[in-house]
Amino acid sequence: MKSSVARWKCYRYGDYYRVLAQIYSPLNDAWRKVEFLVDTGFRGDVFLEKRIYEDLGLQMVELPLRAVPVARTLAGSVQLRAAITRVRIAGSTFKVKAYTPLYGYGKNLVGRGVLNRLTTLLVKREKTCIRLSES
Amino acid sequence: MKKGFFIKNLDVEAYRAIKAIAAKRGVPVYRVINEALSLYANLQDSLAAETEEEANNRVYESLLGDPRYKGKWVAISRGRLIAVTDTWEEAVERMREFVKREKAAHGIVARVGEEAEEVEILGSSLEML
Repeated sequence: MKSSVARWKCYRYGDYYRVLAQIYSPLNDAWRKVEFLVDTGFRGDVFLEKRIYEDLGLQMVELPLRAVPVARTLAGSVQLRAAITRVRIAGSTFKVKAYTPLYGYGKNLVGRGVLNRLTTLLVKREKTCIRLSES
Repeated sequence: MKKGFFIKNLDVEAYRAIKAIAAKRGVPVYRVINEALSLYANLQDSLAAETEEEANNRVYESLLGDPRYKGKWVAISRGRLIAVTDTWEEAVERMREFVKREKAAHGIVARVGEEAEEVEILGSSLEML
């Protein structure tokens, strides 16, 4: 008989809700661990520090400028760079658009584009839990 | 009298087109040729100053509207179209092979005709900047 108990992967809270994920470097065919802040205010997949974006070689598989949006933020518009890659969180792998700012350093954020594909539980000031897929 | 040049092997069709433009504008042919030469010289300067990223984007733009590429994945680097494929994975693989052979600082892997999606960053925006 198949068990109906849900299994979760949890990450400790530290000032922000966080998750540890792996992000794919298409150029090197390799994965790299990155800690992301869970940002429910970010409508998009993942946002990366420019340093990590470039270490992954994403500038070599970038989207053309006309396919890259300008992000609307509380502080105004931010011109972005973007590339398609993959992210692996709690055993699930998704194809995502990874963004970084054209100017500035950026931050590692996981946004609603990814969170909406997962079952995520935020335990107040304690942890972020992601339901593991049953397969 | 100003100095003139004799140029052999000019393209007759192109010369006729220039002559027609001159006649339409009511100006001498040499003036239109001078303008065309200046324009070309300026264009060469701007092309020379073009960054690799700009060149790649220019190549991508040139593919738009061509039905052969619509919906296809393309890999572009060093201002050249490297591959046209049916999947992202194939295009990435071709880019990987290209980077092993040639030095490049920027590349594009994209599906031709795909438009930008809206991105909004609320919570962390102030810190991010």
